[in-house]
Amino acid sequence: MKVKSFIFKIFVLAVMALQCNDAAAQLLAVKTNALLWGNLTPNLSMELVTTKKTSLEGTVFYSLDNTPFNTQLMGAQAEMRYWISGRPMNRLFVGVSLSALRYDTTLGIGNRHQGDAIAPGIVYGYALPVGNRWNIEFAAGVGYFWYNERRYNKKNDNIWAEPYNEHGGRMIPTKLCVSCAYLF
Amino acid sequence: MGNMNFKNMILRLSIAVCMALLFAATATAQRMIRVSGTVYNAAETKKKVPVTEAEVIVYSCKTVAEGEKLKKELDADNLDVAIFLDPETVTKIDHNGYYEILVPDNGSLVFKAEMSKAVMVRVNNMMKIDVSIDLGLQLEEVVVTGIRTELQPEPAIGGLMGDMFIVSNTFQLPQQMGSDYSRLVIQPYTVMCDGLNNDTIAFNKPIVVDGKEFRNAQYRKMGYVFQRDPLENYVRKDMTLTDEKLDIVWNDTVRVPNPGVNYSCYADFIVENMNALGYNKNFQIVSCKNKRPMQFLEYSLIYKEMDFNSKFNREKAQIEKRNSADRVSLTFEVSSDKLVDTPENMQNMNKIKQKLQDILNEPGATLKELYITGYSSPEGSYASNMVLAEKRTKKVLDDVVSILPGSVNRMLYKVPKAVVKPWTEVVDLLEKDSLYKEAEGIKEILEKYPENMDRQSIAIARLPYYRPTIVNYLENLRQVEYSIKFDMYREPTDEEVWEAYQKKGMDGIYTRYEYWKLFQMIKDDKELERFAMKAYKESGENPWPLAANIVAVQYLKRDTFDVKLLEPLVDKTVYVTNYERKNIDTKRMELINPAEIVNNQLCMYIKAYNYMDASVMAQMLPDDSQYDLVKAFAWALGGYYKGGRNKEEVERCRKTFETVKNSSKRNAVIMYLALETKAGNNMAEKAIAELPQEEAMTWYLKSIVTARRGDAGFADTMMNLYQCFMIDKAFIATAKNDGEFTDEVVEEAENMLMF
Repeated sequence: MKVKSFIFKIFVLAVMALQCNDAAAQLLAVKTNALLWGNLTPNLSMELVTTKKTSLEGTVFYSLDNTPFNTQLMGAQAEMRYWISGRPMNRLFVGVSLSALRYDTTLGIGNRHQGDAIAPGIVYGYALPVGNRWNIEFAAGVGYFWYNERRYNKKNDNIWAEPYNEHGGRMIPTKLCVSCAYLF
Repeated sequence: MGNMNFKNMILRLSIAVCMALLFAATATAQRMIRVSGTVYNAAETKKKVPVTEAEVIVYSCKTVAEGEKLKKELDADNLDVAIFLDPETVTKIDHNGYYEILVPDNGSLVFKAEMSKAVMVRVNNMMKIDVSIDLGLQLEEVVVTGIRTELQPEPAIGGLMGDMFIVSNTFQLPQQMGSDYSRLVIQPYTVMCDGLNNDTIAFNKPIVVDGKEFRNAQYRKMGYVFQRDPLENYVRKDMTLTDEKLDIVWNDTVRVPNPGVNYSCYADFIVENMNALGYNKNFQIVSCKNKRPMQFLEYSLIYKEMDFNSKFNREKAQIEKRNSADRVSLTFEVSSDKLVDTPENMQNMNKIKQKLQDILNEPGATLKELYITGYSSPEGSYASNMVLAEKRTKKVLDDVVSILPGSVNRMLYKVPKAVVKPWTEVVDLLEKDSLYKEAEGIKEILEKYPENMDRQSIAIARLPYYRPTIVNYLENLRQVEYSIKFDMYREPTDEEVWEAYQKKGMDGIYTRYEYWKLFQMIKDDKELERFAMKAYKESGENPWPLAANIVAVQYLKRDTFDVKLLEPLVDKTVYVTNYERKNIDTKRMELINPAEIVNNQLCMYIKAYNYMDASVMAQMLPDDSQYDLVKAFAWALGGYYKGGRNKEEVERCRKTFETVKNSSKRNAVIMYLALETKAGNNMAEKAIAELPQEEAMTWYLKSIVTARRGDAGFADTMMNLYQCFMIDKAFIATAKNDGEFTDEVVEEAENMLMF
């Protein structure tokens, strides 16, 4: 509840700031990642410009019950970006991200994995301006995936009843996106 | 018979032996053989290709050592060794790479192809020698393309037309200099070319070219409003910056203060992307050589004197109101109205009295009013200060009028006034002496107590620097100001005036009527100028045109100028001269913009190189033939002799051109040259024929005509300049700074002069 009201406050603040300058964009952007939609995972990101060269992005995603890649993802990602080009939401950027998610996947051979993870990582990307208020954004990132999961046979239907049996960490891609962004 | 056969046999044998011995001897020495072969190109590695295009020279050498020596010489590019060789020992390959040459069988062959190293081969009795020489690979066709790798603008030639400096250039941006994501800013500025102080005269209009994406990003930039960007007005809408090469045409005109000297332009070239300045360089874009055809125009400025007896200039004897004002410092004893007994005090007091006495003694003068204002410093209580100031003023007034006879004293209107000076005057004095810290301290107190002077004084007295610093300044505030008003009426004869002038001299008091008479009597120019200046200054609020014009004429006679002198007498809002108007204050008719004044002011503007104002004056002057020439010069020098925006202007330009052209033969040439057209040059060439041929100027003008023919006229220009320099060396400097000539032609002409 508290978190919700905080986000709401930020949103109201952003909208008020937008009212002050009508012509200029580049304060706030909402976007959605097309690649995640490919896995039937609705997602929404919001990016807020913080200084002349940095911005802050937050993403939430939550998969439907049945996904094409048999991978359910739910979680959130926060990202701090530094814009190499000198203008936020324009061209090249690097960033650090922190993801927290719950996953349930039978992708690939072997076991079914169901667990929770936290993944700090780095991101590199490019925002392509396609209009005064539209961007297409490409980004990829890797991070250290730190997990605690239930790893059982795929045929085990009652995996929720089993105890957590694996934990550890490994480097994996933590971000891959082709996003469509609208700049307020 | 048998004997004969034997003998014969012996003879044959001996001949044979001799022959054999002979042959054997040659064989051990040298035997010339004909060697042939083909020269192949070693660079073609895939198959053997004979050398067909290149020239390969084959040298035959008698010994190997000789061959080695020759090879060494050839490799050292010491080609003269080959010149003195016996032609029998040298041959060239044919177009199939084949050669034949006679060479001793134990000699050597040296092959030399154009640029490659020479190759030496020992003959060793071989009849066929094929060699490979590395000639490199031949390309089918080579297209050499020059690429602009760097911005390098060539300084162009600027032109001076009047006081307008007309400049243009084309900047060729190389590839990769800009990009879609950057902005190019070119900021040209004009400097004076005197080599001493390269002061910036003016900033020219900047050129801004935006990349498409830069502009887009700029538009999206938070808090950015186009209208508020000072560069926005200069953004070129007809081009965008990319990474391709780009030609930017620039032309501009700036007003320069002195068209007599040369100017040049520099420019900062800056490319910025969204992050930083990527490129920032400064180039000279207009050279110090300026084209100035009008610099040789010969003109004389015709100044006009006013008629003393015209309706508005004639003076009659009348009552004049005069005012004599000054301020002196007087020191009083503390808290008393008694003057301190010092020599300065006495002197200052006497100064006021003396002034009164002078007026009293002046014939025809009547004292009317006496104003005395005493100022006191602000320290202490305001009320007591005020009382003290009043007392002191009264005392001074009484003291001063005591010298006047009773009858005069009774008639005199006396106004004593007391004023306590505010602390802000102390602040001003402190700031004048750069004591900003102390001044700031007082200011703070004044802001704290804006109305109450008593509290201000108390607070300021508490400042640590009050006694050492501020007290000294309070002294300066205690002053007495006086103003004496008196009437004058005199109607003397010419003799009386002249007598009075001889007696009183330059500094005496004169009525306007006397001035008017004296202007006509004084013959010495210097004296007249000073005297008229005095009269003009005394006229104060109502400037006296006659006096001003006398000064102006003297200035012009001396070939000097002061545009400020006549400025108060010319009303630019009235577009005509000699306009009669009723003065609202005096209810008298007065003459606005007397033609003589306007004419003389025009001359001064021309001398000051202010051609714009000169042309305004020219427009005011009436359509009278006596002003035609001066008007034409004003317009011609200002550059208004060609073009024109409407029919009227075109007609005026034509008239100006004709008038100046007909003013003298030299001016005709100059005007034709100033047209800067081919027809103009041809006409100028014809007109030059009528000029005196032995003058340096004639040759100079001739060389301008030939220089305008470009490279074809180079030799002629050089000769003409040489002739010109022969007569007058002063033209060398002129030619060097003249944009009409290239550096080379002036240098060549100068070199010719030395021999």
